[in-house]
Amino acid sequence: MLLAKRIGARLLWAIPTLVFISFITFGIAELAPGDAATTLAGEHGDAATVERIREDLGLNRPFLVRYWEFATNALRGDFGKSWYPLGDQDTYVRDILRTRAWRSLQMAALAIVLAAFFGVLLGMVAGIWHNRFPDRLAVAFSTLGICVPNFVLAPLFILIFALKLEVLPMTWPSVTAAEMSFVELVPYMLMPVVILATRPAAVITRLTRAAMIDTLSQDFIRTALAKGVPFTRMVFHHALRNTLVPVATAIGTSFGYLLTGSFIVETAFRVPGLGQKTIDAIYKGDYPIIQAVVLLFAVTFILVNLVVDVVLPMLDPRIRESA
Amino acid sequence: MRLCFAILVACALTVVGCSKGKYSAAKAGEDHVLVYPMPNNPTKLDPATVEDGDTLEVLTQVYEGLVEYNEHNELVGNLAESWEVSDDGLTYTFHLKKGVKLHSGREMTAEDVKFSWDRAATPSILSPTAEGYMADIVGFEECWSGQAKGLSGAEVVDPYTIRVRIKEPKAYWPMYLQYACYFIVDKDVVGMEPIQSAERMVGTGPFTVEQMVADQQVVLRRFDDYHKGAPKLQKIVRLIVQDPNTRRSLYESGQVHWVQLERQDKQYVDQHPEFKNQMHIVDRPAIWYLGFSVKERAFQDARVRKAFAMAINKDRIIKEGFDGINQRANGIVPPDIPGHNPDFRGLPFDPAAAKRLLAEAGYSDPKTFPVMPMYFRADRADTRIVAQHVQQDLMQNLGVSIELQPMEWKALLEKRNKGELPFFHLRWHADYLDPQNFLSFMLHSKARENTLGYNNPRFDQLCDTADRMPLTQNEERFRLYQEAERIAVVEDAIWIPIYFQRDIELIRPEVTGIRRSLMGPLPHIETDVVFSK
Repeated sequence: MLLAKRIGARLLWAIPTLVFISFITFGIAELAPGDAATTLAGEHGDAATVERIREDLGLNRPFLVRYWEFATNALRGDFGKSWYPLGDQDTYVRDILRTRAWRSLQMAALAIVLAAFFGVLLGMVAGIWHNRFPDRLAVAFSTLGICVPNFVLAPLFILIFALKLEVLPMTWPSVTAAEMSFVELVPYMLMPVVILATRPAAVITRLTRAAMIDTLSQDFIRTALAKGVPFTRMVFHHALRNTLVPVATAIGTSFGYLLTGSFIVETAFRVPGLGQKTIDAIYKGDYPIIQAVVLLFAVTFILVNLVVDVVLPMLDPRIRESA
Repeated sequence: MRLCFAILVACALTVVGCSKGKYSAAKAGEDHVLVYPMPNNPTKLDPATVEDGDTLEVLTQVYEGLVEYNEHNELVGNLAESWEVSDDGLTYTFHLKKGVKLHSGREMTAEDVKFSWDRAATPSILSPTAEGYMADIVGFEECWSGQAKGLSGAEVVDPYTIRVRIKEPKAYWPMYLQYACYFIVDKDVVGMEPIQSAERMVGTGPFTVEQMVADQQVVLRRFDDYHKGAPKLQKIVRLIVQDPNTRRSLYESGQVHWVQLERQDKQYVDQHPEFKNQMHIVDRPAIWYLGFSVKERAFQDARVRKAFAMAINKDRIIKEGFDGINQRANGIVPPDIPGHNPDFRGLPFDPAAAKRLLAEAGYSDPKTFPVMPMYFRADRADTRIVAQHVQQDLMQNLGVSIELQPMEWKALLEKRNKGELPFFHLRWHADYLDPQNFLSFMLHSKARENTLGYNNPRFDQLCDTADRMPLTQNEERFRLYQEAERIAVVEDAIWIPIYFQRDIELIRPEVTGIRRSLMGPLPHIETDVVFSK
């Protein structure tokens, strides 16, 4: 009951947040130079043509009227048409999102799993062998992982694995991808997913390590050890549980990073996902796509945070009580 | 520790397990299939609406016009075998080549020509270029405003002859016909709607569109009944690759056969000596210049503009900024365009004289000169390189400080069209290869592109006279344009020419027969790729 109330309150709060975000994204597109009419008319288009198109598209109506139309359509999942379609392909923003978001989501999910697995593992190793070689190694990895940005990692990985070692494909298989199974696509996803996972893995390593060191120095651990609980059982049953809260929080916050991280990684590896399309849209000034992506990201953020908020009390009774 | 080690080993095995060389199979490549990248999806599929060069390069494989530029930059007949002009210079008669097949299998006739041109001038097609290129044809306004169906000035005489009347004599007018809005489409298939799908891309060109997938690739297939004989290539694959680093890596791995580098990327070739003999430096009919608006008080005095021009060391910009790739521009009309003046020296680099001129203009203390903004396009490295050098030169050689103002392209264009840029760095690329396109078109006081407020009656008069002269008097015509160029650059210094653009390309040795004119690569009729020798 309490949980349902919490979720309800959270969802209520999401409404003004989304209204605010949609208003800002719509307003920014308004302030930027050029609109759908100047775009359709082209670089050499004359003022009369632009005016004619503007009239046709209803761009002469007041700002708030158009915002209302945009917002109500968006609620129905209709974000209008892209300004730069390829012929009759990629015309409706809704379809673009539908086909692209799935690919990006797949990669983000894989990256999160990878990051959580290796992050927790490295963090545990570092915590157990605190201040010894494995710890140093883990700290070095996590420092590098946090510092080195994706746009450095991507060409580096391409150079090493695709050009020098020639063990991984450099870019997405152009068109055959649609006919390939998930397993067949794994080699193509390996580099992008590993790069996406690097930073979250580094963050999770640090958090797990800190929690581990903290837990292992607690009195109850010493008591357990004195009582004769085996070391591995103690690590997995007692210590690891305490690291789950920061890790769950980190996964939540990393999700946002993965969404934006996909911009660079997908462009570098030619992955036909949302990130690549967004970068393309930003370069061209394809505002309907940008607006839709921003809103989609906002909704994703809200949902992920909601899930984290629901999951945390389950992991830690202390949070349950304080709520 | 043991666990950690085991996992590391497992990871290593996974990577090694992906057998080496499996993904470099493309290195060999397929015979007769040319693969090269383009940075974006084609923006348009319709020749009547295309504007950008990358898309145009795809469309020229599919559609053709009555005339084209050849490798020597001469205008020659393509779908038209020949043409003649009446004595008053107002009527052109084009004789079409017989037996030209459209992709639909039907023979192209003058009806298709008339249809294609009428279509481009119809308002519902929303052609952004028709007004610029077609307005000279009698009846254009009526068609463009929707009052008339079709161009009254273009009439079909017989299936192989079309006659066009233009409003006033313009010797360079046939050059307009090589532009995409005059390309021929199949009247039975295409219809009056904008072309939105590959199936409706039906022209007479050497290739047809086999497949088009957004953000992935465009595949063109050989048209066996092409009127100049089937092309050697079976397929052209254009991979859409946004990231320039990825484009380069794809070339390095052999997965694409031809790649264009950024001009400031010569170091890349220097670091890869194996590419040295694959590098090609390509001239473009484009000038990068600095422009002044005389609507701006500070730039109304020609002596100030000249002082700026003489304080900028173009050679240093080209040497330090572009590894000596680009060509120093003394005048406005690029080399290899008929009418280019190779002897023209322009204004010299002379800091002492520049200072004197500025003092004469009333700024003996250069610090009293207002700090002007210099506008340029933000998303390119080349414009920034020039802007920074100019800022430095003006400071060092003249003592004048300017403020760099990079701007997003669309915003910059909008400001330029409104004439709100007092001092800027921009490019002009030829629409057709004639001095008219650089002089009258850009700087005549009545030209649409002249948003600088530049108005010199002597310049206008030279252009007006030259514009009306027939091509048979080219020698005299070019002399007039060259004098106009001298006035604009030396006397008025309304533009400071900086450099003529050159691009760097890498082409694999297996690729042969790429033909180009100054306007860009010509359709891939002779091009071939052969790996198995």
